[in-house]
Amino acid sequence: MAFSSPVSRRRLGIRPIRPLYVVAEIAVPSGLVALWWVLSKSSTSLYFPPLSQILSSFHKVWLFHDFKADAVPSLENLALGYLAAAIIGIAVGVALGLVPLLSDAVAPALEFLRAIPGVALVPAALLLFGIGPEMKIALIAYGTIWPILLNTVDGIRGLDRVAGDVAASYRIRQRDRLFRIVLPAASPQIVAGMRTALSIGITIIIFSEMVGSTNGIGFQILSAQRNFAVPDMWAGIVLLGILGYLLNLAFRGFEYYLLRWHRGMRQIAGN
Amino acid sequence: MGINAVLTERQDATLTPPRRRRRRAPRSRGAHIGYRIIATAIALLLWQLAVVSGIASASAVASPTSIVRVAGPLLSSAQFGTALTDTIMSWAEGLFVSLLIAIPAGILLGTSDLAYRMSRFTIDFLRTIPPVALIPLALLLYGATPKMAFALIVFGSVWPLLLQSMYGVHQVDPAARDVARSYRLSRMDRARFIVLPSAAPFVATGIRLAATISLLLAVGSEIIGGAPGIGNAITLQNQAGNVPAMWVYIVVSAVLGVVANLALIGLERRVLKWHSAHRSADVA
Amino acid sequence: MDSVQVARAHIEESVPILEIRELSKSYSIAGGERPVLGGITLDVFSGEFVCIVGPSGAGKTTLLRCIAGLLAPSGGAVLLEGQPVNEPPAKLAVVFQDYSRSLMPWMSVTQNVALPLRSKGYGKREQATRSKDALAAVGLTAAATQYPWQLSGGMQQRVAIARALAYEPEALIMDEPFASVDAQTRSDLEDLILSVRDKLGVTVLLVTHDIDESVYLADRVIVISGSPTRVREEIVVDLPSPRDQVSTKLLPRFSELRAHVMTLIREDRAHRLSD
Repeated sequence: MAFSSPVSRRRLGIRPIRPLYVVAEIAVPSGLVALWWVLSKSSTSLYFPPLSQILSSFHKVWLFHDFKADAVPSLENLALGYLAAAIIGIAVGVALGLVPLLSDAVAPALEFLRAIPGVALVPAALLLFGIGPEMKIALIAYGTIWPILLNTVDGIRGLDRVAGDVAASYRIRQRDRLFRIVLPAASPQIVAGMRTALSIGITIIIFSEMVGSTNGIGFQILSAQRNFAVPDMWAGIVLLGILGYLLNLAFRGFEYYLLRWHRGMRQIAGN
Repeated sequence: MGINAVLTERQDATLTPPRRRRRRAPRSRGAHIGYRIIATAIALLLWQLAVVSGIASASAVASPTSIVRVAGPLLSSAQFGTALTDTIMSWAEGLFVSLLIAIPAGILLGTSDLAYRMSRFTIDFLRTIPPVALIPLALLLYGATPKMAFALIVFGSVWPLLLQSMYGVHQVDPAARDVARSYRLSRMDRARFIVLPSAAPFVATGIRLAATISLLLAVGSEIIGGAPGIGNAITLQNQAGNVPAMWVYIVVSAVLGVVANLALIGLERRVLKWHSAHRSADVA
Repeated sequence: MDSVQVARAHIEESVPILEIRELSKSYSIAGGERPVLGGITLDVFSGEFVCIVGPSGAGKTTLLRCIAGLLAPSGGAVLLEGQPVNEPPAKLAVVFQDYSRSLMPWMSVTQNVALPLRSKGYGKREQATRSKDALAAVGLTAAATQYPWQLSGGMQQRVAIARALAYEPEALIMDEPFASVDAQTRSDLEDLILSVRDKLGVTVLLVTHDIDESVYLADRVIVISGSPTRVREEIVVDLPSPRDQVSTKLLPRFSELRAHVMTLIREDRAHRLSD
């Protein structure tokens, strides 16, 4: 009995890379940066200094003078809050997801809690924790836990009926059912929640540093603005842009590795 | 690849609960609502206990009873009405303008494969700049005014909507495109009957994302920038030490978000009722 | 002994491995009960290949789920080797129709086949050997490290069959297993399952809507009627073994049996439409 040959590269969705497209993708951002440089060169505006000035501010402040004092605490607090939210969110989400009655019952309460904009809680958080890392970590944890938790519940509850049948009819033991079937099946949804949570977390850390803090990137940008050190302010914004992009990139790498199978599966289905 | 970042969002469509080995009679709707009320009541009770017992300091967290007590007179006050209107107005204006900019631009960019590729990286990068980072810049340019909030909201909510629209147009089913070509549909007809309906669900998701972000930015710019609105009221009540009143405003901001989300989902369901996400769940 | 008797020599007529007694199932809907299964009684003997064939509708899958212990019946009983089936029994393996959903895409082919073996308590080496043997039995040794979604539909269903075989069941239950593959692959898979049954002596209960398939594969064809589902007729398939896609289907007896089943189903459909 002959079986069909293994899938070809084409079927796996690997499109040939056209040189024109690669050039185009690099050309536009570089072109825009060049444009910015040229247009702002002779700028005398207070609010939009020349790009050259911004870059030298960037060099002065962030490489590496203030990096330790401001950037590192921001990133640390973000990491701690996010990690706490991920661990608790996934654990509670799994527990709720496995008991549909419970997740149904608490759904409205959770949706309401999720809907509170993290920024609106900053004043209350300041009252509760004062100025300091605890306030930021707690607030980030609060803001980021909801998309993770709720997406985990959805992912667990949405288990494919056939997968459930397989688990039941082959008498798969409970532990394997959870870790080898339910959780992997829910992982695309959970990761999507974690992605949303990341951007919320970044928003909250910057915002909370602007409102009540003595250090941090957000604090640095705002105080530069208050002191009319406009190039420094812009340098901070540029740093945030870069950091935001890098964090997203790192997350995408994590997602790439974790969900290889999901990507492969969808590419085939798409073709 | 980064496009997917904005796409997969928590679905609000009906969930299929995991199949049970024993098929029970479907629980009545009344029972569902009953459990929810009980759970919510328990949650409120726990909240009350937390404040009363001191686990959650009363100088920062208000108990449900104190919130309700203060809410009565506060919600009917003129000061509340103004704050609410201010926030809703700047939120709506900012969101509306973002829609006007992002959707047409997204559709145009998505139509051309080359344009899509060229702009993808740039838009992806700009999307990851946290909009709150621009609050100081907006303050510089516009001061603590509604204009500042408006500028911030537009910048923040344009990107996800732009990406969603681009992707929605870009991913039109090739089979549908083939149908259009083989029946020689005009460009207008193609756009109207194939591209736009196909992209519509993505645009709808983008609108919901943009609505959430713009509410957050509206309140945020009011807290930091002092633009008038709910956020500003929160700060003022905080400074005056009226913790329950502050929490009334916090609750209101959440309610706004919930109402907007529900309204958009309802609208989406009606307009897009043909889409598979809104068809009744399969009975296998 | 003629070829038919030789063919049935391995079937132990006196030992029903699966007994289904007055199996019924209704769902309560707004305004009363909707009966799906209306009292089904049949026996499956050890080593037999039984096909259940009937028109497309709710009954066949519901019947199978009750037999497999995935669904509690409203009335009647299912007995496997004399023991009542209340939950999925260890001696039964199921092959589902939708292979793309029954195989786990995050696991390789071998991991998929070995998954139930972990729960059975086999150690790693034992699992590896059994998976290897099962994959060899379905001709998929070369695909052992690939992922299900990298394989064609027919190959994926083979993986599902391998998983069922590695489980070493007494009886194999198959729910329209070849309905989602193309016709040529279907023929290959039909022959595969016949050879598996011949080599390993496992009992097979296969549900299908394909009349040709049911006659080709079965020792006995059980024709069921539409809703509520009941056993219409049991037909012994006295075709010689081993079956062949070309020569068996050329036999006049094949056409007769096929026509008989088709007539029963047509009658039933006409009868229902006239109600």
